[in-house]
Amino acid sequence: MEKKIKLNPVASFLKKNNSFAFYVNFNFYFFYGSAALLMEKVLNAIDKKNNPLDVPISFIEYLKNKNIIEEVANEKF
Amino acid sequence: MKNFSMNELYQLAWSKPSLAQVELTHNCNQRCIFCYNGHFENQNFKNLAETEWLVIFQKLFQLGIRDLNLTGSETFLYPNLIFLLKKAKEIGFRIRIDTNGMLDISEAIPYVEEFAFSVHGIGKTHEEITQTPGSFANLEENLLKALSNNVKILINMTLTKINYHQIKTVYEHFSNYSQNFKFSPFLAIPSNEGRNFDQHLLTINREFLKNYIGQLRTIPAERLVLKHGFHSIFINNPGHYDCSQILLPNCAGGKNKIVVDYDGAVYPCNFFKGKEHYCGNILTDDATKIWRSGKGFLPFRSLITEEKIPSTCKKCAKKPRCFSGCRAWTKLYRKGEFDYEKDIRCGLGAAYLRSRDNE
Repeated sequence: MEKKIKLNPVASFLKKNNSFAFYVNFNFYFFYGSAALLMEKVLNAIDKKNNPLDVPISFIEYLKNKNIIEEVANEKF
Repeated sequence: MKNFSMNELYQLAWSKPSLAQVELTHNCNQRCIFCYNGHFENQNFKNLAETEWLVIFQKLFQLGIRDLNLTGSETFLYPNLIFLLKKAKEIGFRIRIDTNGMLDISEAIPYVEEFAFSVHGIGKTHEEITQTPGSFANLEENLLKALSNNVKILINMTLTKINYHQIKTVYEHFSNYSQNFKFSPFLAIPSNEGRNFDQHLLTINREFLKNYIGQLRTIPAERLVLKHGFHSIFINNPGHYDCSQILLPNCAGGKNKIVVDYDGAVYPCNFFKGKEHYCGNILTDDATKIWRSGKGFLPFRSLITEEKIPSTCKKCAKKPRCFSGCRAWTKLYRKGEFDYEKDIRCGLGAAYLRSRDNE
């Protein structure tokens, strides 16, 4: 089954000066420079029907491990 | 954390609450002398219907809350509790129930991550406080039932003059059965909405706090749970307050916790339930709006973002986690004010770090 990503509902984030701060489960995570550009792509893909992602799989795995994003089954639309 | 100010990070952390303390029913089958809810004889309060609680649970979940703490009064007096537990679990909550252990907990066990039992002493000492004959036997039976089912257990002991001498006794009594529980012996706070128990209130002075801290140190650290900001008085290791990390204040009121009363009314803390701290009704009002702008939450946040704390606290190395301690432990608590007030225990407990204001 196809998967799509979404932001963890308990995560919140703030964007400032092309940087991101995320807060989830009492932890902060920061993304600057090229990591912020990748994060921008991830956020743009979220909630899209097929959210294709032009980012390294290792980055997605990192975000999943930190509970910033979740992978869910892509139900029929 | 470059590019972000500490105030921006606080606001980010507080943008969604993580914990709801919910009082399903305001009824209770005990009459504890220190009750912060102020229960008196022959009171019977109307409960919200199950369907109304389900609406509230959905709203809390949408808000970002995943930890549901069903608190006192006595949760097991809610008529169809098991149905609500099942639904809450289906929604996706982790559930903790605070209980006095008077009623059988068996059916609730499959749905609950943790039980917090109120144990105020052994035998007659417990019953002198609960004013309920036979209450200790019921409590012990239910606590042992939870222990045998390997559910997480917290033992809460509210300390007054009556039971202070039994801290170690209670800990050892239940340790004889199992090591699988945590223990929280905390000082009773006279709540504005609660019973008056001045004659049983412990006298907080330097000598007493030294003794109390000494007793707490006899409990293994991994099993001790501190409440109401006592962390900052108990923990003196400077590394715990290391400013190179991003530290958030201990007090959850208005920051990551929401308190929901038996009628849906929302407050920042169980000790701040006056009309000046009313934040709205979650059954009828918009939950996000309540969380963002509930008037009771705002002073708990501005205390930190605007540093409305005493100069003594500004100089103290514990500030990043403490921010002047528990607001119910200030001199002006009973007047409903707390800006620029210090926690009265800090100076007496010689808690200030790198500051000369210890008394």
